[in-house]
Amino acid sequence: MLNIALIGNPNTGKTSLFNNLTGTYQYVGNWSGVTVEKKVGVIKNKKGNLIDLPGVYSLSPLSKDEAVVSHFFVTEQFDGIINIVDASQIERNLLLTMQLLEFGKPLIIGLNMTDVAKRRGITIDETILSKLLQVPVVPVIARSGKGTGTINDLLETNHQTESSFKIDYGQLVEDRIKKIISMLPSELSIPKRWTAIQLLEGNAEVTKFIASFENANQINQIIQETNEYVKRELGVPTLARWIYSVRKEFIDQVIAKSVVSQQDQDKSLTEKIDRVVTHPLLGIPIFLVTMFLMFKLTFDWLGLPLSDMLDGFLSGSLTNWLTSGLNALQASDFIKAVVLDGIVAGVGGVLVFVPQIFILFLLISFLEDSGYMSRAALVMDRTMEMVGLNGKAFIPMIIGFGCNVPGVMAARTIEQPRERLLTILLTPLMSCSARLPVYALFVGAFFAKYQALVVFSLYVLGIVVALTLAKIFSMTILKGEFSMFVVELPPYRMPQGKALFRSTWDKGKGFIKKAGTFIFGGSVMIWLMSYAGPGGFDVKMDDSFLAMIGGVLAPILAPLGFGSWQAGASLITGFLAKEVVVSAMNIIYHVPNADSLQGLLSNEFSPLSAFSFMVFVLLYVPCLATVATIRKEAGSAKWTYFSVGYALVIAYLLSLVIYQVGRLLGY
Amino acid sequence: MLLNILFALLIFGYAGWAIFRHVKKSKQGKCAACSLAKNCETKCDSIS
Repeated sequence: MLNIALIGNPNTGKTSLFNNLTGTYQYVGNWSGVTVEKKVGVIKNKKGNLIDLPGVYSLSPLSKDEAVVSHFFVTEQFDGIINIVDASQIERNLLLTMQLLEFGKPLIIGLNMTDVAKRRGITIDETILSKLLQVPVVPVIARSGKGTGTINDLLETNHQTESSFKIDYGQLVEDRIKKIISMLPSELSIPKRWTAIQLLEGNAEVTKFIASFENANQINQIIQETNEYVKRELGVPTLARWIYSVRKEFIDQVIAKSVVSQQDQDKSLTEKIDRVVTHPLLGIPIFLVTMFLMFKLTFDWLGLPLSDMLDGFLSGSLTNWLTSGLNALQASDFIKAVVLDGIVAGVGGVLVFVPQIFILFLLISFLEDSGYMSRAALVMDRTMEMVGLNGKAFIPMIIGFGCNVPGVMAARTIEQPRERLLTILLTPLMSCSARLPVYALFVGAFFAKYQALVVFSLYVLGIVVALTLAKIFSMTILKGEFSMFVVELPPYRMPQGKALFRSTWDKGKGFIKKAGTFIFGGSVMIWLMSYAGPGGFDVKMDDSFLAMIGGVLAPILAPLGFGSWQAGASLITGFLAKEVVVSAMNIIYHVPNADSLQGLLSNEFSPLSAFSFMVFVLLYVPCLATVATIRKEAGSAKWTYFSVGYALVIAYLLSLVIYQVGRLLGY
Repeated sequence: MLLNILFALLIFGYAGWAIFRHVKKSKQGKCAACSLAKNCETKCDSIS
């Protein structure tokens, strides 16, 4: 089996190409930093594995996801490289290509986004480019898969042709390169010339790699000498700078020969849109309005009628079928109870909200794919800077709206450790989709006319709390320097129907799967605990084990407006997965459908206490999967406990304030 | 009677297994969220 590495600058379409070459589906986003971990898939023709690496501008790592790439080059065996190059940014993209070519492995260039380049007045002659770089250049459209067939064929024939590419870095540097090469051990697993150049360039991963070699100290000395020489004789601040300028000169020549640039006629639509949506004053209001419209569609305009229909089916036809089926099989009362009061109530209670979740995911996918989300990060940059972060930290947070787990992982793209930790700690405050059923249930019962507005306020509250805490943490426990935010704004594009539905399905299918597995299991267990008590089976629910457990929390929760054992019990189960809060409520209140649960809830909650409850659910604790991810990503038990602890405190305080102040105001 | 016991075994057996699996997977954290987990050979382990 061949192992082929897929590599390129951020947001050039690597993951799209990966999906097309392997036939798998992997999350694709129109922004930088979607892939933070290398992933391996089998190429469709079964000839080899394709390794999708995070996007990087250079092989010298700055952030953790970039280190993944250098680490890969240094330590792993592979047979070839597919370098995906963004034709519209060819100059910058080729800088990475130079480093890859020097590695000497067979390389294929996938030239992507030639359409965007054309619109910008850039036309590339791939035959000349291929001749100059001495490697095959294949024009591809990564999103639709055009050109992947050619790449597939080339993989079979090209993998033996090692690249013999060489740039001359000038007499003196070349001498030093030779000297370093002679000092490297003969059995070195990576190309020597490449290693020497990377060392001179200051690649931290390579330096780490050779640190154990016997000549490491002498090599470091040569590097230092060369650095000083370059400064003195060539008038360049660093050796890395010199290497960069030599490569840049080479690239300029390549471009002069292979690229035809015309005057950019079309002051593109992207720029026109950006002038409005990234406006310093209008930017944030536009972002908020976009979010509000998203919820308006999700709840009021589309979601509600659909979810009513589903509710009708689940509590009507389906329940009737199941009842008569169970009767026909002469099932005992116990079995009937577990199926109807446990499974149907618990799983059905959550499934009812599937339409809302899918609509929201569809809208988020649309915004992501169109390129707007990168603008949202840019727009938030100034606000984020005020609280000790920068716009880059907003991207993991936006990802967190879908699910906090990939959100926390996306924090890897942040170079500065302090900012990274801060982002990891705060991303769980973003309202993930698992919390949506809880909101949907309560807004339906208490805020029928203002559903979208109330849910919108919760999402915004999550952001505001995160920003406030960022400010507090960066002034107290996480003091440190600030870093700059540079974001690349991809051109806007109309999301493609197929990709859009796929990405929506991909985000949403997990929810349905969860309903069939964990929520099913959780519902059965919750039902059992509500059916059994110290007095035996089939006890009154108030005497059940569940009531006992929930009852412990009730007095603590009373000042927040929901001091019942029912609320306590459902919140405990929510730690495993937040949707289960809704399942638990359905089972506890033992009602046939969402409508009657909402009716019943209005006896237990007031609109004020319902809002306080939703705020508590928004903030109280990250779910188990998120906690485990924080533990891995932060690499510290202390910070993991902290992330759970501070969330509980904040949730309690905020719900308390909301409920008590609300009562004083007469709500 | 036999059928009832079978039903109960199926339901509670599956429920227990589903919870056990969810907790086990959640504890792994990042891999559980990855849609490529089945095809991925690295299982997120190779990078610390």
